[in-house]
Amino acid sequence: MKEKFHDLISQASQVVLDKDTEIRLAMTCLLAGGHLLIEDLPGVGKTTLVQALGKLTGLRTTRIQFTIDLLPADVLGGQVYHPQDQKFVFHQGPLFSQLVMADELNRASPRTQSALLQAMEEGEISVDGVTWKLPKPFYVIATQNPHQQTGTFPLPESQLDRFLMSLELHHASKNTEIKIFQGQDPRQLMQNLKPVLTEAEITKALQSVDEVKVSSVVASYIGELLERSRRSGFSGQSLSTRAGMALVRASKAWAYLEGRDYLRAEDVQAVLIPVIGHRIGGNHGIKKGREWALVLKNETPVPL
Amino acid sequence: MKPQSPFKRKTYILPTKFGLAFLVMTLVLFFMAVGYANNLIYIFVFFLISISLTGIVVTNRNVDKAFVVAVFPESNFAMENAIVNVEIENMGSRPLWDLQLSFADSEEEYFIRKIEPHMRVMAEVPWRPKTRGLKQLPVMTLKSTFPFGLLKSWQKYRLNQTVLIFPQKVGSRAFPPEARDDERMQPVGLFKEHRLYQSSDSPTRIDWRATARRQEMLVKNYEEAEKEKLHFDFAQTSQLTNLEEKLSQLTVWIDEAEKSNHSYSLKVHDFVLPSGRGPGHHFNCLEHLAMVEEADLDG
Amino acid sequence: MDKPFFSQKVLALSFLMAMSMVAVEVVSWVSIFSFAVLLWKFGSERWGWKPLGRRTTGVLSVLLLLQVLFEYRTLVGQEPAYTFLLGLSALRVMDYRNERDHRFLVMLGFVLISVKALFNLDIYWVLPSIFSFFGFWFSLLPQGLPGRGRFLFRIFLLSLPLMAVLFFAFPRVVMPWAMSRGSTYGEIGFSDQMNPGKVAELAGSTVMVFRARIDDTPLKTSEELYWRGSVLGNSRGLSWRPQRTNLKAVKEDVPKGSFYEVALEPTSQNYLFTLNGTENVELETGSVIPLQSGLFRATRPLFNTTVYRALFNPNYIDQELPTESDLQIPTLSGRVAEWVERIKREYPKPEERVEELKNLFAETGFFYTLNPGVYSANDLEEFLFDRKRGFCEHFAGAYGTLARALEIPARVVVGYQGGLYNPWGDFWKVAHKDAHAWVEIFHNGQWMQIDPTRWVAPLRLVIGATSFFALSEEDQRAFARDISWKPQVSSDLLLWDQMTFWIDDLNYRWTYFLIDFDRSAQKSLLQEVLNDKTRFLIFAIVGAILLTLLVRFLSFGRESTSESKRLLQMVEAWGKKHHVPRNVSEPPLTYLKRLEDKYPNLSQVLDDIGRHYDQQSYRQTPYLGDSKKLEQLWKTEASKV
Repeated sequence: MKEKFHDLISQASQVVLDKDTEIRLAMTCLLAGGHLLIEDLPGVGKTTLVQALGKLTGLRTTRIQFTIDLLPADVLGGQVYHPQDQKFVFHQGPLFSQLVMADELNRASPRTQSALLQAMEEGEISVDGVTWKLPKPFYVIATQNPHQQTGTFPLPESQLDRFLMSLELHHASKNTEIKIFQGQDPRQLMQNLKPVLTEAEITKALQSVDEVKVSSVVASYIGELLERSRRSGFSGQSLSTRAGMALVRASKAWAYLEGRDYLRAEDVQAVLIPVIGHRIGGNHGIKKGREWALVLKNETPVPL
Repeated sequence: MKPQSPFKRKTYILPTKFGLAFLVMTLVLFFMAVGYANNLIYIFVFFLISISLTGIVVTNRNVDKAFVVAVFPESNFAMENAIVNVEIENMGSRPLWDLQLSFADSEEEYFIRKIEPHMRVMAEVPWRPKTRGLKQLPVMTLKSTFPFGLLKSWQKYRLNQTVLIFPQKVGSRAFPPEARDDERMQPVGLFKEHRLYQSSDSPTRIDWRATARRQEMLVKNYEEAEKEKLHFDFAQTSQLTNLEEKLSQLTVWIDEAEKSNHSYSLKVHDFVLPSGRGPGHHFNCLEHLAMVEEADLDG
Repeated sequence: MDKPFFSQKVLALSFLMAMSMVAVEVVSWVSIFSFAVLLWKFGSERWGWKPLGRRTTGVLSVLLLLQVLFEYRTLVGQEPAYTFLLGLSALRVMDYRNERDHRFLVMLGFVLISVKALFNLDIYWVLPSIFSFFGFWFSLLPQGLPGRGRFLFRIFLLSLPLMAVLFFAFPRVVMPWAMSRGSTYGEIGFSDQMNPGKVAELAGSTVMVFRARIDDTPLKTSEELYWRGSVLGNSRGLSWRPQRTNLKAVKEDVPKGSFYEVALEPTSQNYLFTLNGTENVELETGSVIPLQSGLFRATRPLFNTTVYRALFNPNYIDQELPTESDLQIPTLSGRVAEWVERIKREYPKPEERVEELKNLFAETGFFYTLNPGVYSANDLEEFLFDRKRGFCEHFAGAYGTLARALEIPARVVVGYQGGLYNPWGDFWKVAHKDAHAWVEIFHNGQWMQIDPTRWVAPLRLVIGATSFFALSEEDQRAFARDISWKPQVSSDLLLWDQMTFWIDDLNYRWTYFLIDFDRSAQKSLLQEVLNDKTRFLIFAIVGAILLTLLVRFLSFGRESTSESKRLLQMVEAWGKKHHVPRNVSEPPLTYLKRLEDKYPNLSQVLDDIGRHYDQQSYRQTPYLGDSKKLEQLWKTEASKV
């Protein structure tokens, strides 16, 4: 099973070059059953990555491009009048899909943002008193451009912890860029991708991840991390137990991808910055948060 | 200050006052047993002795497995109750109970009910620094009388930490008239700082100019009306005779200025600290006052 | 904030129990006083009564002291000291307010429990004593500690081996300074005075006097057991008084016989009760004075439970010649004198007179009862001819006087008869209920036993006093002479009897063990243990194994994942020395890999250590290799670098 995931990752890596770790982390996020936030400049391959993942996992993927005038109904769906039947029928919006790419989330108005965030949290949508369940599995990969110039509404930090992990994509290195220019058109490559996994396999994988063992040493390491974030000397926000649980889930998924059914401290460290980077920035933004996460990682002792 | 690990120490054990009384009682009972040749009392006395001996092991272990791992002293004012954060780790595999931490010169102590195995606890050990300056932390004692209160086991720590202690706050809280600034007060509307925009803020609050400059969405953080600037000088304490009193008075003024959000400057003979405000400035001023020596003031 | 006393249930219960145990041993006024004070304290805590202040309790303590001094004339002595102690305990409870009071109270509690042990070694008190003991230690533990009971229990278990070792190995020394009981209070106890009604009074109590193991002797039934206490030689008609008894002449030859053992409860007197036919008595501590008439006395009053061994000679005959004093009687008058004259006239031969004496008691309708009514000292006539109701002492006293009047030397023996057999422990329990008086006459050249009760109420002798007096008055009267009569017993009474016997036996063994384990027994135990080397070795090994297991099992919490962690700590320490320390935030396995890169020679052993750690600490499965060998391997490899 693990091989299939590795295969998936390597195929994706061929399409999106030089982003192996990020792809792996994105996969980790999915396996942990969480939503992902990708931050970076436009044009570095965010969309390509998500599309590749969508194709390879075989999940039904939709892409929602958020703009400033996007309304909640454009995301969730709304009632449409059918004259033939003489009644209003609910048309599902693009959110009703298994892998939703919420592109440039920070361009939408806060109202539209919260519609999406709420759906992420609850796994269902209420419209006009009727509740519609979202499909399972359900993932949102949101992107935002942190260096955006005018005209954006960055997500408030209290909502950021709806995302299990946050990733930063950078510009590819010069050599890689040369390869990109010389290589095949990624859009072409994309079309050749075929699903590597079935839905049943994904469900099974999710269960296996859940069963990964957490030993007392690792648990106390995580506890130590949380405790350090709560100290008065620490500049970042205090981490809640929910953050700790998120850390556990993500570490388990990472360990699973490594082919193990038990956690090591290394797994926690591998996912640490993506998981808590956006939770400890507070007022100062995700970038600062990631810096502090790094400080936390370097200062917290790993117990023997 | 970067924390360092203090020296490793030995664990001592002795009976408490109660323990001594208990010993006397046991002796009395022992003589009773011998005198009456009563085996039941023998059993009883030997059980008492045996439990006390087990208690010695338990009490000793309860303290021996506690290690001071890090010390975080904070600067404070002289003659005020301060605390030093001390991190204690339980190196054993059983919980530790009822530990008491105190400094040599202080009556009060910090009480830790329980430390789980391999876990750490941050203790706030009370301290009362007496004089200003760069002070060495006094000897710290970690002790316990767990479980029965018959025996007392302790460790002494010589902490290699120095802490900066500001002068005691003694003096009038009213600012001297000479300190007030002649400059006119700035009009209301000056901001304190910019901070990042969040989607929960109203878009009208955006400071576009600053945003254009910094490539990040910024919002102004307003605050209350601007306070006047204050200028403190050592000479303003001329009516006081004692150096310590003078320093203490300046300390009070600076502290008050900071609390009421003035910006202030400090001049002590050749040393000048220009106007400013905030924790950093506060610290710098107080630091200088703490370190002033008689010799600096001559000439 | 004052510490509440009664809210601490364990402490309160333990202390109350300890007080109660002592209260039953001392005089009642102090018990009433103490419990009144306790009730007051309870009221002040529960119902808001105003408690007594420290000054008041101080004054009360002084008053208590004065009262004790007044009553006992001294404080030095068991009874006055413990009386004072009990009252003082109650006052300290009233004072209970803070931690210091608590500690003082706990110490008082320990003293109270010890005091109880001085009074009574019975196993029945062991359980409440243990509970109180546990309770006091429990109350010393910090209140916030979870699982106090279990924690304390573990400490107790760990301390037991040392306690046992101390107990068995500590040398016993006998000190002569034991405090006297210092009591002028009369206890119901055996005495030489036989006023009519005295023995009956004694027989009203079910308190146990002694236990005896007589399985080596040929005596098997209750009937056969006569325990001599004292011999009375001075007749006053119905009542008798003791006479000075001389020392027995020492016999040259050691007679043959079988040994029996008696465990005598404390009497504060010198009496040693022995069977008819006892040649010799030995005390463990102290000497025995043999007197004439088959009596034995201890040299010092017995304040502790005492065990003595006696030699029983089945062929014992007392042939000491009677003296004139053995015929002494007061002047007789009335019908008594008439009867005596008549018998003297009609039956010149001693055998005939003996026969007539028997007939008088057996045939003329005498009643044996515990409550015959009060006789004055000279109502011999009333007893013999009018009321005809009496207890054994009346019969014995009357018989003795009449025998002497008929020129047959006679003496009255007071002691105990029979007892209750405990089949579990194969011992006889003799209580005050078995108090008895009988006669000995000098006839055919030797002193013979005559027990008039045998003619009047032989059932009493057959089934024993406890059973006999348990019957109703009518039954007693009806079946007194029917020795074949067996009282009806329901089956659950039988079960209850069994249970009582079993507990009684347990208690007997327990007290026996406690009293008997003294210097000589200890010496013999040690000899036994030390002489046989193999046995000692086995003993020691088994003991050591048990001790280790116990300690390991009970060590407060178990060390977990220690081996892999220890290995890593070793590597870490080594790394530090070689300037390749582990960064605090570096995971162990990563660190090991880094070391492997730096020191390729160690890569194999480091890899193994890594795998070991991975298995034990992360995977939490047992490591299948040998960690000790791994440790050795590391040490050797690392030293090569």
